[in-house]
Amino acid sequence: MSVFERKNKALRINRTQALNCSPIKNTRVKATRLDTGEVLLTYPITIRPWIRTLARRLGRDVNQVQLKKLQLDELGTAVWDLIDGKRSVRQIIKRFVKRYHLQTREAEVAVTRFVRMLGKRGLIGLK
Amino acid sequence: MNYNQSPWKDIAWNGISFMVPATWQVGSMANNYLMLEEDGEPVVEVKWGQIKGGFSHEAQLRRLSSLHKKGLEKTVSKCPIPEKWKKVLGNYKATAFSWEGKTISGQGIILFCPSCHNATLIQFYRRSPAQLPEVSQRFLSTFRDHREDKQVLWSLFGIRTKVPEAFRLQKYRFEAGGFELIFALKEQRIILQRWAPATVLLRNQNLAQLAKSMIRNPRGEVPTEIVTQDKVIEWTSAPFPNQWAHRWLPLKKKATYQRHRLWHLEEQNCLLSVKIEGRRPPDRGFFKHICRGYECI
Repeated sequence: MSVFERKNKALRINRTQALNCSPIKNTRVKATRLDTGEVLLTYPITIRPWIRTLARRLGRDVNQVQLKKLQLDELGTAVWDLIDGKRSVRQIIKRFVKRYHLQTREAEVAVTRFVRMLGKRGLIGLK
Repeated sequence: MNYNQSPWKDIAWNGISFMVPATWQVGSMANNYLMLEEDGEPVVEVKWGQIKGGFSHEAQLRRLSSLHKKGLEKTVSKCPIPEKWKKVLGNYKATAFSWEGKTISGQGIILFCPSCHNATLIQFYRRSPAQLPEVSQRFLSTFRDHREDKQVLWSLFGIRTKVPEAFRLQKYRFEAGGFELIFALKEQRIILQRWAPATVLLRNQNLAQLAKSMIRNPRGEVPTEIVTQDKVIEWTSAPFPNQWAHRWLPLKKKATYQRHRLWHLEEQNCLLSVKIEGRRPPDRGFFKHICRGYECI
């Protein structure tokens, strides 16, 4: 049990460190700009081994790359556009606050939640 | 950072108000508690409450001391009130204390107001000892725990309002994009909301269409009047004029008379809304007074 705890501790970063990280877009993600100005993200997903085995047994093509789509709303698009690999999360929040006249804390919650969601889906990485 | 040269802002919550540097943000809160942070680090903690009967500074200090002992493994010690604080404390009965932990230390004060019987515990976390006296003095000089006009000021996260002190805070919500404060007095409720950014909300619809989507018509209630002005929509709803519905009304728990105003503040890029509901028609003058006092700063 202690092994797991040690592993988690090593990965844990504090709020300041997290805000100073710069998000980088995954090069395998394809962003398409829609007529509305919003962005549609298309990204490959990893199939779990047991699903792959099941698909093979059912005679499906398991080598075909599975793609998933995610359409961002206006605010999500704004954050996505601000991700350039150089700007830190803190700088993105500052720009977001300026653009939409939001409260700093409010923008921080919204942007960090969105960045975390993108990270969980593997659409971005943090450096 | 030189706090005296940087801008300061108002914070007012559930009966107390004070000023803090604009860079300080509310980190955590409860009905009678505020913790302010700067860059994610705690800077000041305020806890308050109404006292019935006698108030003992010593007892509160002992209680605090035991709490700190558990959390920080250090004891709290009583200390003389700094001269700079004495000048600004006015009629408050005060006891100063200091505490020191392994990684953090601080100084605080327990205030008791003899006129409103409110006790407040303020703890300044010492991040930069040189700046603490200046900041804490200005903080304490602006600290108020009651007002003469029987109104309670609320000012947090960029919204400000004044509500009669008889109304109690029933519920609050501060989420990204949507804030809500609900006050209640018997069966009457005041619901204040703020949505942002307005440019996004009004991108595919105008204010009237947005208002229409907000109007819910429970059975037996119909919106009777909708007044549309430039960037302001106001409507009321009342029980359906049906004898059976009227008889049913006293048994219903849900409020039925409503007056609602929604307006757009272009400069602040937000939408504000005031709703007053109750089992009697809300007073128009009172509604206007609440709307006038509700602003985005």
